[in-house]
Amino acid sequence: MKKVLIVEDDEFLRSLAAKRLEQEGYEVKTAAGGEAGITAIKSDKPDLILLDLLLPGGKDGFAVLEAVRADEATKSLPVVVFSNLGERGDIEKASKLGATDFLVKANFTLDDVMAKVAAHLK
Amino acid sequence: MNLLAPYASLITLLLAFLLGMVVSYLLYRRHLLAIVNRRLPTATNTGFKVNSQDNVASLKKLNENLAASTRSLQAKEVELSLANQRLEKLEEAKSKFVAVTTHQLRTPLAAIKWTLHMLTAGQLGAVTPEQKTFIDKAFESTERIVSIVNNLLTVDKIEAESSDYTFIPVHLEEVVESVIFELKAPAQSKYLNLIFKPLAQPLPEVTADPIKLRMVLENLIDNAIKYTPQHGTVTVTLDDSRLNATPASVVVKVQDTGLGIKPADEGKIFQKFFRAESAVAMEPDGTGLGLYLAKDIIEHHGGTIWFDSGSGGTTFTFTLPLRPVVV
Repeated sequence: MKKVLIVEDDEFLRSLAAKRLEQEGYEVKTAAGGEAGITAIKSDKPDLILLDLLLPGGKDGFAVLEAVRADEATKSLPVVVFSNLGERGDIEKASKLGATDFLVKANFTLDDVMAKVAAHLK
Repeated sequence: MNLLAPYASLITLLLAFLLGMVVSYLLYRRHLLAIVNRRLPTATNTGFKVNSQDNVASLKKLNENLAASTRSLQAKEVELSLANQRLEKLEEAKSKFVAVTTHQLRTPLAAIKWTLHMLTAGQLGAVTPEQKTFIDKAFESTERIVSIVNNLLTVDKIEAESSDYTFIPVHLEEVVESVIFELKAPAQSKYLNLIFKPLAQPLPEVTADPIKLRMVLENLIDNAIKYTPQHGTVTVTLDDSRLNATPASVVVKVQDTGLGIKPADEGKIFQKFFRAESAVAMEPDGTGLGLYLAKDIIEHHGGTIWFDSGSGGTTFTFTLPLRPVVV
C-alpha cells in the first residue's frame, strides 16, 4: 500500500483529502505546518507528498520543498504542490525548486487530485 | 556797448520775440499732453502713456502679471503631480485588495467544491438522484465563482502590468497561424470553416508584445467561433492598406457569419463584463472580458479596434502600428 503525506494547514481540507485518499486505498499521513511536514517526511517515509505552499509558522511550502530536494533520500520523491488562485509566480518558483506537479486547489476536484497522485506513483 | 546803441531797440525786440516763442512752445506742449492723457483709454492695466516714466511702470506691471501666471502654473503642476501619486497608490491598493481577497477565497472555495463533488460522486454516503440534481446545481455555481475570480485576477494582472509589456519584433502571420491551429478543434466541432487569408507578400515585422497580441487574436477568433452557428465561416485577413499611413500600421480583420451585434448593444460591447443577451443565449459560459481585454491591449500598442455588424455577421478590425505608439 502506497503512503501519501498531506501537508496542509486547513483542517477541513486536510480531512477531506485524507478521506478521499483512504477511499482510494492509500495509507495517509498528515502534517499541519512546514516544520511538522519536514519531520513527517523523515519519520514516515511517504511515497508521495501533497504540499500546500502557504503554511503557517517559519517554514512555508517552498522551504519544505527545498528540504525534500536537499536530502539524498528524498531527492526524487514525487511532490504535488497546491498553489493558490492567481499566484502565478508560485508555480515558477516551485518548478525551479523541483516540484513534480501543480494544482490550484479551487480549480480541481479531489478526483482530479487522485488522478495526479496515481499518475505520479506509477 | 556804444556801438550797439542804435540797435538796442532791435535787440530788445528780438529777445522779447525769442522769449515769447519759448514760453508759448512750452505752454502749447503742456496743453497737448493734457489732451493726449485725457483722451487715451486708461481702462487697461497697460494703458499706453506718452510719458516714459509711465512706460516703465507698465512694463513693471507686465512682469508682475507674468510672474503671477508662472506661479499659478507651477502650483497646478504640483497639484497634478500629487493627483498622479494618489492614483498610483489607489491602483496599488486595488491590486493588493484583489490579490488578498482572492487569496482568502481560495480555501473556502476549495472546501465547498471538494465537498460538493464528493457528495455527488457518492463518496460521502448514498445520495438520491433528486439530491444529486441539487448538489450538481450548487457545484455549477461554485464553478462559476471560481471562474469569475480567475478572470478578475487576469484582468487585474493585465491592468497592473501595463508597464510589463515587452515589445519585440513579431511576425504577425506566425501568431495568426498559431492561434488558428489552436482553435481548429472547436471550429471543427461546429463544422465551421476557419480560414486565414494572408497577403501575397509577408507583412513587415511589427514591434509588439507577442503574448498580449496572441490574447487579442484568441479572444476575437474564439468569439467568432462561439457566436457563429454551425456550418458558418470565420475568416482572418491581413491588410496592408495602412502601411503608408501615419503611423504606419498593419490591419487585421476577423470576420464571421454569426449572430451579429444588435445596435442597442454596440456602445457596450467593449465594456468590462458586458455580454449581449444573444451571446449569453448561444453560449452560457463567458466572462464578458474578451473584448474589454482586447481593446485595452490594442490601445496600449497605440492601435484602434472597431467592428461592423449586420444580419450577415460581424467583422472586427484592429490596427497595429509597426512601432508602438505607447500610451
